Amino acid sequence: MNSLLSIKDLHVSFGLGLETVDAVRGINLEIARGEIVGIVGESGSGKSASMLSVMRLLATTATTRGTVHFAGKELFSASSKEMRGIRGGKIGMIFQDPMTSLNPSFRIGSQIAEAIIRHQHVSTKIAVSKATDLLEVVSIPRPSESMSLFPHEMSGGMKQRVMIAMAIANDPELLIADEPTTALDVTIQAQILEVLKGLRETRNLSIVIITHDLGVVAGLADSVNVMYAGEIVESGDVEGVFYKATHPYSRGLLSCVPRLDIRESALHPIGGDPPKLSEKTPGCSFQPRCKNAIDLCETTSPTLRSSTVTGLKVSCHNPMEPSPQMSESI
Amino acid sequence: MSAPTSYWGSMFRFIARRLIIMPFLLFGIVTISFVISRFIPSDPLISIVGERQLNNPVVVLAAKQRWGLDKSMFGQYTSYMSNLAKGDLGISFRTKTPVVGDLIDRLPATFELAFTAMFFGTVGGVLLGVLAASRRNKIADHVSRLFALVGSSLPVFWLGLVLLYIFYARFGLMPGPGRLPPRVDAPNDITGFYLFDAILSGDFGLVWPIIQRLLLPAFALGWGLMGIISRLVRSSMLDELQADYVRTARAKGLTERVVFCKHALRNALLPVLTVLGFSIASLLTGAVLTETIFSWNGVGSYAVSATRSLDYPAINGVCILGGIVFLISNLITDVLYAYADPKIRLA
Repeated sequence: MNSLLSIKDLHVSFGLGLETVDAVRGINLEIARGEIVGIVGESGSGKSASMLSVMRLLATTATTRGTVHFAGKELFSASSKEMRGIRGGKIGMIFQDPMTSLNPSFRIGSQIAEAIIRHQHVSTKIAVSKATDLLEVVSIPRPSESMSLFPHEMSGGMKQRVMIAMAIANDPELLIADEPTTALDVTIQAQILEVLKGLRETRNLSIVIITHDLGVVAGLADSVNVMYAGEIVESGDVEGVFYKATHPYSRGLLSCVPRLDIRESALHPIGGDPPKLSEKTPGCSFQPRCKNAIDLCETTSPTLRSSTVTGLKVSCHNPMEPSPQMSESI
Repeated sequence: MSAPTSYWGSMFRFIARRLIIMPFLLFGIVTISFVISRFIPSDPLISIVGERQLNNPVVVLAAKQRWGLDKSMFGQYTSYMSNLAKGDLGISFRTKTPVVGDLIDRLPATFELAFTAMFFGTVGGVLLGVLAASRRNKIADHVSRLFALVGSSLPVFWLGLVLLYIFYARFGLMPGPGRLPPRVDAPNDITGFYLFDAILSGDFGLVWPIIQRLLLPAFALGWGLMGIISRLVRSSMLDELQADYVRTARAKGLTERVVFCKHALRNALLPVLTVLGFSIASLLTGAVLTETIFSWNGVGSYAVSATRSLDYPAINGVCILGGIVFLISNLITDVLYAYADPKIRLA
């Protein structure tokens, strides 16, 4: 497959005083044109850090290693000028908290138009009319009146639509959505996901969606990568991961999802805490919390390998059996 | 969500309400300054009749009657207030001319000084603050911190004297005190602002000397404000640069300069407006000292002479003027703030 974004052996670490925190520990990721890829994991698993590093928007305290090819261009070696052309031009990004992600002092219309003028070098008048069209695309009611609103005059869902409009203003090839629905009500979440889905249909947009909400991924993504402690522990197409996941962590995540269809099904939280990312252990990083751990897990770190049973890639010495019960629902 | 149509309406109501309150506030200011000046344990008669005549009961009585000092304090107060209602601030004991006229003559000089100082303070402070924030913990940051510390912690009269000593007395880089070079006539009195008058009357040879003489006193007066504003801008810039919308701006592909000077600075400037409103008060008090040191013939030096000779009408006149300036500048600040911060709607 002709991949649009190709991440190879990406490492991200933050210098935190004397400690170095290894937030991302060697991940590989391929994203095809028009594909929606989900990255799932709990807070601190490195999902946002890995995608921010693609945009080179990490704090200056971060160091990155590995390669990121976007449409054939290596991004870590690109000049800052080239990067500025890619940011907002070829790759759009939306963030978790729409409440704070828009500048409170400028009207939303001018914030969108700014992105258009920056990359398309058109007159203000044209940029404004394009921005108005974009508000229509993301289903904001009364687009031309809404152009002159300030962010505080809009609801969270509307602001996230504005963020999306801004991110797609220059017809990017890739949209990175970093927890786009986390700060929103459930009903609004669904609407935002519909908007994203629609964009893939109409614009053949590739989307990376970062979330800790499996429901979001289930409804939207083509393939899923489960991240734990800076590594991808399981990946594959969305149905595979939901029905046939064998990594104990993925299974743990799936059984954390509340279900309405099974009576008295208790939630099963994963015991323990994620490892400190400043410490390196020789074994599997999930081993201390893993019910399935064997002796090997303590000494040797597993690598991501294709499983012949499930067709998924899994990084585990002692994977679980695909659960028949899982496949009945979700 | 407030409709844009009601915006100017509410703004107008806000201004009107503040203007209505203003006379009451001024009434309080006048009363307090009247009482305080009367309680100073000294006699203004010396400045009216002169020391030699002080033992002559006829002269003293005549002077007391002439200036209304024979009445009780309450009587003096009521007659002062009734004159004030007519816009009459009385006649200065010292200059023997109406206080209103004295103030109008001297106000432009003070405004000239205070506005230039404010310009230095604001523009310099914002530039320094942005520089310090962008070079955080580097040499430029430390230099600007030191500069701010010196300006805001040393009293303005000391700064004025030292600047005069260094730039005028020692190295002769700057002209000495005064608004004009010695033996030079003031330009035609059109606005009272020498700089504008010189330009308006086509006296361009005077423009540079006038500006040159304005630089040192305005810098001495504005340095403190510059220090405060530069620290404020630095810290609020650093706060704003952490904000999510800055990351959004970068994600749009904007250059660091635009991210800095448009997105972050716009929000970082809001607290500066508040400080600016209050700085008017400190600029006015500072002007009193600066004008005295730099022989600046403005309201400040007028106030000093008035206080020295216990010139009641002049003292009260300066207090009223200061009160009006302070109230108006606060009103302007509030209106500007509402304009600059879209989240504030005046109610």
